[in-house]
Amino acid sequence: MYAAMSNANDNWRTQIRKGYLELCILSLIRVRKRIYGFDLISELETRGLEVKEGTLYPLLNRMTSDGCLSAAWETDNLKGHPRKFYSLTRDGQRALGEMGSEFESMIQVYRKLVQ
Amino acid sequence: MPTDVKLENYLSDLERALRPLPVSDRAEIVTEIKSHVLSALEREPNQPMDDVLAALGSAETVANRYLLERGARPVKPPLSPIIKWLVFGFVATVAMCLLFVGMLIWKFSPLVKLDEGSGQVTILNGAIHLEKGKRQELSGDRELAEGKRVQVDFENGRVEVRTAKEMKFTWRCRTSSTSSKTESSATAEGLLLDLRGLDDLRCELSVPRRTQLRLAGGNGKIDLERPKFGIEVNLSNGKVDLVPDEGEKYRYALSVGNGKIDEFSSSDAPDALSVKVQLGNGKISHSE
Repeated sequence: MYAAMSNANDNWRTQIRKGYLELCILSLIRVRKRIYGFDLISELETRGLEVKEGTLYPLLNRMTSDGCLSAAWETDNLKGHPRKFYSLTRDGQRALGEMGSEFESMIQVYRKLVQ
Repeated sequence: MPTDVKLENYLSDLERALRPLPVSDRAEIVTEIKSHVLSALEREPNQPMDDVLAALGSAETVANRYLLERGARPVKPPLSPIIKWLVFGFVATVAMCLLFVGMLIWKFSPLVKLDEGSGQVTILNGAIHLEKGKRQELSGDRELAEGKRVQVDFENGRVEVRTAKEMKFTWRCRTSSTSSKTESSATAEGLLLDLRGLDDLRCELSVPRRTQLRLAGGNGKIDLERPKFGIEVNLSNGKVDLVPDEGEKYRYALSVGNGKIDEFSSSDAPDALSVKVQLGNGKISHSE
């Protein structure tokens, strides 16, 4: 029974992180203006959100296809290999605003429920 | 294995697993993943390549996440070429065996054919042919007056007995024996038909009414149909089937050493026909 509950909790956590992660990525990119994947993983981890590399990169790829992010390849002459930098588009800004508002509403609802 | 080779192998697998995507997209994804790995190694140069790749996940898993994010169906990992060939070889072998068996059955059908009349057995559509031997036909007849007795001796076989329409005893027999030596001789009491020494005997006897039939044999089956004559049967092993005539009365004396006797309704009338059967092992049946 404990295992079943634990599985249910893991499933819930996975589901809720799916939407929350996109919000966090957009928020961080807005703060940093432009960032590449490896640094994004490190920054999220520093702020308490662990994301697997195999999960993040496909998500960034899809968010770019959706138009929330724009990507550009840059090669640092000192470091050598090319890096893909992400920044917010206008659509991304708008999406971030809407997601943030929605998330705030959800927190308000939850607080009322637990009072 | 050198680090670069491991990375190149991983990226090759990734590129292959991304095959549903356009070439340009595949190239960009592979470049980004390679960039991530190199960045990780820059940050921690002593970190093993295996650890960096393990943190990413298998190439197929990463590729499938890309595909899922785009709404495409994940790709199943391809079978090892060895396994592919093993499966193919197994299926081909089974198919060939089935084809071969089917051809054999078709070629040699019917597999077994039995001709009861001639006693011939044909196996595999004539590939093997068993013949019991040619059947000899023996027949004859003798006048037999009322009250007289005919004795028939045999070793193994089947005897069917009916009432003759005339006062004449007739016999018609078939045997697989090549030698057709029989003896029919007149006796003081009537007639003796000696059929001993004949194998696989099949006889039809017609016995005149109000005479007496005595049958003595080793192993066999005797069918007595509506007899209008007295009967005495002595058989070592076998079966005796008796169909009584509705217009006749019978006085039965039946015995079986090991076996079974059906119910018979015996009569004490002075004109009742005597039916005596002694059977060593077997059954005396009342047939309708």
